[in-house]
Amino acid sequence: MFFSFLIILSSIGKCQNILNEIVLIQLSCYFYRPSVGKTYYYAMSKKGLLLFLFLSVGLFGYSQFAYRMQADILTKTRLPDSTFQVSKGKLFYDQNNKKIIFDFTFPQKEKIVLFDTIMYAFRGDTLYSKSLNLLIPDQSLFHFILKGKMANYGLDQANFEMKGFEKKNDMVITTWIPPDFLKKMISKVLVATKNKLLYSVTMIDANGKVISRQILKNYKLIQGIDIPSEILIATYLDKGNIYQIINMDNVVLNEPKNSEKYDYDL
Amino acid sequence: MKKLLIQYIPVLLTMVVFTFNSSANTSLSTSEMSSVAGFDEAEIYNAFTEIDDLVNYVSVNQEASFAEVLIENSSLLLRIDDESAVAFKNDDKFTFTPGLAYFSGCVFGPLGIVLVAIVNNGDEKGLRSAIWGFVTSGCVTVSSVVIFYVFFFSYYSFLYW
Repeated sequence: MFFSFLIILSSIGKCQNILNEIVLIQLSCYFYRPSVGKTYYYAMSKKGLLLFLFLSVGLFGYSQFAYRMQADILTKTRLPDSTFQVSKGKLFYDQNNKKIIFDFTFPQKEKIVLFDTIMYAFRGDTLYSKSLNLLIPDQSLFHFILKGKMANYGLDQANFEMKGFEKKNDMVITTWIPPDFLKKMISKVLVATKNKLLYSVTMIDANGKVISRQILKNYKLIQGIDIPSEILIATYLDKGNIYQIINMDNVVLNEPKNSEKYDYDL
Repeated sequence: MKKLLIQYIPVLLTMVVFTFNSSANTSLSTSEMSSVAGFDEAEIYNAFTEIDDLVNYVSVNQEASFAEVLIENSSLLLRIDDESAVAFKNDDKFTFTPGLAYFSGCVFGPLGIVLVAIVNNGDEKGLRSAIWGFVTSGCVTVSSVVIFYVFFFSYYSFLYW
């Protein structure tokens, strides 16, 4: 009971990694007791095995979640005026800090910090610019990846209502209806999954026109979590289309070191 | 009877579940369905074919910066913005709307057309509006000169007459 209590605690608490380590230490103490005799060990083995199985189910369940990630990132953007923008660097995100940090090397050495609704750009250690940010960290894809909430893209948390689903070829398309205050802008969101993995998110406006779509592909299984390595985004505006491709490589989850890279004093 | 009920209850429950599931379906229109299932990813990939060379260069040269590429191979940077993460920003760059482009062509003439071409990055729609603005202002100028001369000569001919 104590172990399962710890697991429950570890899945909800902020100090997840520490508690998880305690669980593992407790487990190893249980199975390796050099001081007790063989008879005791065998008598306990059946019970212990059952307990171990019970706990490992809990641990496997727990391993589906992570709290921080880093990745090599390459973004390509085509703006409505047909100019391009290419950025290359590293991405750091810690769900407790709620800051998405891009450490870019191209086009120039620059740190972009997305926090709440503000985007900060630092060159060297100097704040170079500050502007409104479209990618809210705790509503971003990176957050959903860590939280294991990719399948519905966090729509349930944003008060969207699941209205139904349809199957087409190898896709299951779920319809989500937005809350009233968003209905003027979005009439529905169609979330498609392929092989139980999120494939696309399509937003449709009040006139039935597609205004945005995101496609997530080339999934890689990293530490028990399926992470898309390529994201295609198309945004259809009156003044033209914005296209974007994001490639993520060398994804590392729950890096215990370099905590300073996941936070930036603003 | 009891046995029969026990046998049929799971079947009944399964039917209930299926009925609820099918009622949960909201049928998507054909266009909505094709916008999801029939979308061709090539639309997005093809938008970037022009910058393949730059992307390859940047991928190979890990520490390459915009300034270095500009020195070594500036042709790769045509129509490339030197800002990072533009897509996450919410501040729009200034561009001439068709109305403003027309006005610019009207007032500044050829200079206005060049200005629209530079600011709108050669956008055809804006450029066409600016040219129409220039043509309109030209027509107005020419016709006002013609009207002036017609009036002038007719006035003097009237005096001599």
